[in-house]
Amino acid sequence: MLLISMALSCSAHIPAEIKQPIEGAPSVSQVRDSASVYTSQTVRWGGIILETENKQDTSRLTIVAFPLNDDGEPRVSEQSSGRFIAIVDEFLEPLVYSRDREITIIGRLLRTETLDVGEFAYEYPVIQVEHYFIWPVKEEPVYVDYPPYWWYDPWYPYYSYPYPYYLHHHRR
Amino acid sequence: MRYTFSLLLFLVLLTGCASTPEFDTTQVDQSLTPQSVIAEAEFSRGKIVLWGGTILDTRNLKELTQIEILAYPLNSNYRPQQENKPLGRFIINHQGYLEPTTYAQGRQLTVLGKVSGSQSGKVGESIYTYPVITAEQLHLWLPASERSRTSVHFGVGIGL
Repeated sequence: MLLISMALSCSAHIPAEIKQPIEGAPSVSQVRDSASVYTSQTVRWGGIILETENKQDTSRLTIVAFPLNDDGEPRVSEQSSGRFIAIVDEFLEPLVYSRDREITIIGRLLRTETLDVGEFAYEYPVIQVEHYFIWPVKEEPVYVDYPPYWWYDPWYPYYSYPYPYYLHHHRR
Repeated sequence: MRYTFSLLLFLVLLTGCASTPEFDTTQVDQSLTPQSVIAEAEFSRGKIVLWGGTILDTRNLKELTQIEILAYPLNSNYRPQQENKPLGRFIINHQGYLEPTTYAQGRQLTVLGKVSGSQSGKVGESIYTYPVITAEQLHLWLPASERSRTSVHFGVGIGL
């Protein structure tokens, strides 16, 4: 059988602040190692949303961070650099800011908070967000699998089957 | 319509290639499988194995992370071959924290480690004895969709 896959890419308008790296800013793992050194530092971090909690006046996102690419987008196929909590001073729709969406934020390190992941006491850096950008959902690459008709048809080219056996099969 | 398919012989195939992990296999006992380790627990303890499979569960404990795996035979790149018959379940103990959303259910993992004992648990209502491996080296495989997204190669593909 033959496989063809098309990689589709689409461009989005990315805010300038999100694209701009912050010189000398610590990574999530650096902050987790020695948070006190970095208090009130500005960072640009991004990753995948694990959870969105809506508080009275704020939204609190738990994010699994990844290194960022040149546009400031998380490279989610790389090794995670750790978890953090982002506090945004407005209501974020939890159905939009939902699990597995990619987000990049810029903000200041407020403190750390220790919460359990399973039984592990995990120290989360907590960021007061100043700018944020949720990345558009990517189209999964589509694999189209065409079985060549002559492979199935012993009577080819003399008979014609009543069904179209060149129908696409989708592979996941 | 039919005849256009001969053109497909020349269609371009986009496929991803993942880098091959390097494992030091010199001390690995190739004969051991999760099932044989349970059958010969005394003989197997302390042996080095290179196993892999599909992650069933990742549990973060206070000081270590436990990963439950359904083992499959490995190919020459040490990647588990899920289309083969599984070789039984086992548990990996990894000192420290591993991100459970990264070491997520369904992902493929290959581990080099030492047989440290066994542990029993329940699968449904039946009691299952898991060999336990202390991890020395882990390799988490990229899912197929990520592979095609991150590194793209051109080639012509014909196969079954």
